[in-house]
Amino acid sequence: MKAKKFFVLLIVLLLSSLVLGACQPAAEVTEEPEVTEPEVTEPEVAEPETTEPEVTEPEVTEPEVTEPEEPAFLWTKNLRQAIAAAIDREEIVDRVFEGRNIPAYHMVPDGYPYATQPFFDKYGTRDLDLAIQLLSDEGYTEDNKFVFDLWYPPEHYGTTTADVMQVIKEQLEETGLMTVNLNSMNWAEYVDGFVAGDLPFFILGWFPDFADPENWLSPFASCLQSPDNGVNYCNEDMDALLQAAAASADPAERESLYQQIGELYAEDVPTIPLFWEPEFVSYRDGVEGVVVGAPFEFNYHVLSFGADAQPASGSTDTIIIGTTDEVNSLDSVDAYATHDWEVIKNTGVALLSYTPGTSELVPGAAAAMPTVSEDGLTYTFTLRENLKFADGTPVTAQTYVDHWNRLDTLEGQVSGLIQLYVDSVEALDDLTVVYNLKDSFGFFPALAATAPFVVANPATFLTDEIVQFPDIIDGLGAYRMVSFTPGEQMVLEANPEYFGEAPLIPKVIIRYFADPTTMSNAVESGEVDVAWRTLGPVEAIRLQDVEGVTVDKVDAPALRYMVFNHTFTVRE
Amino acid sequence: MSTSLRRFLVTRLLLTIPMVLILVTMIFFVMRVLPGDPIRSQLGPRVSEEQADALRERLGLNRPLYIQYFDFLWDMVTLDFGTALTQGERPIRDELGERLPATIELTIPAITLTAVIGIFSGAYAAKNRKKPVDYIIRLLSIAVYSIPIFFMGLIFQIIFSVRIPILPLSGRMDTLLLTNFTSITNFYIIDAILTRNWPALWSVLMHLVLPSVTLGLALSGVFVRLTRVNMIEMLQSDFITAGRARGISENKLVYRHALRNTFIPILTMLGLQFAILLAGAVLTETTFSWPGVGRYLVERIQLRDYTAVQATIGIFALFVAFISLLMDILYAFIDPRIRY
Repeated sequence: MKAKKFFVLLIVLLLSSLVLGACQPAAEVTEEPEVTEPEVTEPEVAEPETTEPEVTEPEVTEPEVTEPEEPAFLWTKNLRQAIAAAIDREEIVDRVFEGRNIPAYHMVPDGYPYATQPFFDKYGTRDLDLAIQLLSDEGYTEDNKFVFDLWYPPEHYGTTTADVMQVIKEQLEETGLMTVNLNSMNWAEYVDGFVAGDLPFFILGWFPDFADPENWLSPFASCLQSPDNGVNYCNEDMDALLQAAAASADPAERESLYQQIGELYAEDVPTIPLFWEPEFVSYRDGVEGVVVGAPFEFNYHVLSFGADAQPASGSTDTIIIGTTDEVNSLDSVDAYATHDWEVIKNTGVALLSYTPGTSELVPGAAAAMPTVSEDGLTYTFTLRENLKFADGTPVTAQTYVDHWNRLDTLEGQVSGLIQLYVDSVEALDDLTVVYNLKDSFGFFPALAATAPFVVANPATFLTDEIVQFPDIIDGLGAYRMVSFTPGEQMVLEANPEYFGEAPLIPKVIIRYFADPTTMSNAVESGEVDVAWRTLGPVEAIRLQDVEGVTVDKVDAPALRYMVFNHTFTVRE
Repeated sequence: MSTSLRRFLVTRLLLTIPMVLILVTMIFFVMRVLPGDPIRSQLGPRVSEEQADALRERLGLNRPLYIQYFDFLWDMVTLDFGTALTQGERPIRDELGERLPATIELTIPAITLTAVIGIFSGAYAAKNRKKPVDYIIRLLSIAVYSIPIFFMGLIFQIIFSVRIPILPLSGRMDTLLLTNFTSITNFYIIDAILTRNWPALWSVLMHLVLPSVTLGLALSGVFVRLTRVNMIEMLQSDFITAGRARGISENKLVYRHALRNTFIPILTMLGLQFAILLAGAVLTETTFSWPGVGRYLVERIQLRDYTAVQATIGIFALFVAFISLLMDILYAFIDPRIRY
């Protein structure tokens, strides 16, 4: 009998969860429209007091009366500007991050080509009077405040997010004309919420795919891409400028265009940049060559041990690098995460690459910088002679064509990023490969330096499937991957076929840690030589006082910014 | 084996099937009711809605729910478990094949340590009831029970790895040894013995010390108190008094006769704890960068990796069922009066 009751109970539980599941979409649907039912208040005009026959005829005016004064979007330009003027980035950085972070006065990071500071030029560090003026112009008073919801994810960007939000709330309410309601949601729900357009004003982070202003502006301010980030912003002038800047390959023209875009951005405020979050890298005395530049690349082949070094492995032939990142995919036509790209670029070389520690583009697998056709639609690369994968297989222009075909057909995570720009790839001869673009994109060289432009060895990365976890990687890079134990470690060894100078340390072991505290203890106790992403500010500050360990702040292009949902309608 | 015991076993084994089925079914649907999906949780807004849809299509998330459900059941029955939806889409059998052995290798020494510390100090405290040593043991048991486990782990790390570097800090084996280590079963102790790799065996054992002591110590608090309470009651029972009257030594009375009779509740608790530990050693695993299954489950729940979570919980259910069955059988050996 008891067992019977037990089962009945379980089945009831089961059914109720099913019912809950079924209810979910229905609930979403009911939430939505409300506004579209424009309270069809019977037009008073129709009441036939005057008995005149003409009046009773359903006048053309009828629908006009009931029309709800166009869909009223919440965020008028004045309100957006008021908020941009009221936010004080310096105070956020000082109060929440003790000055570690860097205030962001533009979406494009300093140190990038064509970076400007339009928000500083327009609003200074803060312009409270302007904010109050703009809010008053919109008709808000101390008795009739502008009330709105501000959303944030409590964990995804670290626990400091809540503090940032609190400071912003205080700053906005200091105008005396706004009331901000803070709300939070877990990340998975949050993403669904802003993609669906349910959040009026919220915080997001951005990390670039490639080192060009295009990748910092179009995703938020172009009519085509802004809906993906929940911005839903569309301005013809902005679109025209963005397209012109993206199309141009002329540096002087691009500079002028990005200057104009910056000014328009601060004027029209599609989003509000807040601050850059730095990363930290710490390493033991004697480790040399730790340089991470603006494109955020960590090159293992320039690392070396000085005379006073005490390597964690006990030998100067092996360096151990700690990380808290995880490997998601090592296939360059699929991978779309920072650490994956780091491994891919250390075991491979893209067509172009960066001089370590700088944002200077130099030839990678290509022998020289590409030539561009007059219409900007084709980029021609000449490959280095005698290029070989680590297993000795020759690399020719055809290898690049096959690589593009894999990327285009297998639909990996990163495919979409490249398909946006590249139309087709052809091999003219063994050493010449031509990229035909969908439009003229002046930033294409920066794109050609990303991980998807690292050719994968067809012996491991099969034509018809994505291989996210290969046993080995025999690529073009300074190193080859010889083993990988998920969650524990990855071993890289010098690639005998590498076209450049042999790496100074022939063996690299990447150790995977579960949390930053353990990793920082490991660098302190000498179990690892370098502790890299993500050490976190708390551990970084602690390690600064530890003897024998150096901590460097890396100006990472990790931006936090506030997003207005431009199509969020006013709800009664 | 008596007929009745056999029947008991068969019934229990058969009951496991609906239990696991109901559990995995609930997980299947609850995971899908939760807001968020594997694509968006992992890639956030980096992919457009069309790309996200293409990825969903590729992962089979666009199929009708009932088809996904029956596919999943079939995968469970054939012990295939399918492939994960996030973090590299690897076969779940491979992922659990790496992580489950790591967890078990950590859990067994930890629970043994828990039992030894918990039961003996509990019994000792009961024997010396209301003496200073009793108070000290009780105080310590509350202390280890209430210190957050990751904090205890960190303190141990700082003392024994950073300040006095005698024990390794984290991981399962020395980095350099692991480079040349052949793993067969993923139980590194067994692998090291099989390959006669003695330095590796030593390294694995040393790496086990801090995490298993942390975990074992933290859990022992409960057992100290449980044993003590039961023992006090037992020591007041008639057969102990009778034993004393016959002149049996106090130690023999306490550690053999009384302790044996308090084993049933303790064993039940140990069994349950062991099952919980398989999934619940998250904090210890995180602090010591132990690539176990607890951390795996938490990560995958956050990423809404439906298939990985379902399979992992399904396997836990099997483990729990197996362990509670084992406990039931053990009762009969401990207490001859229990008959099935």
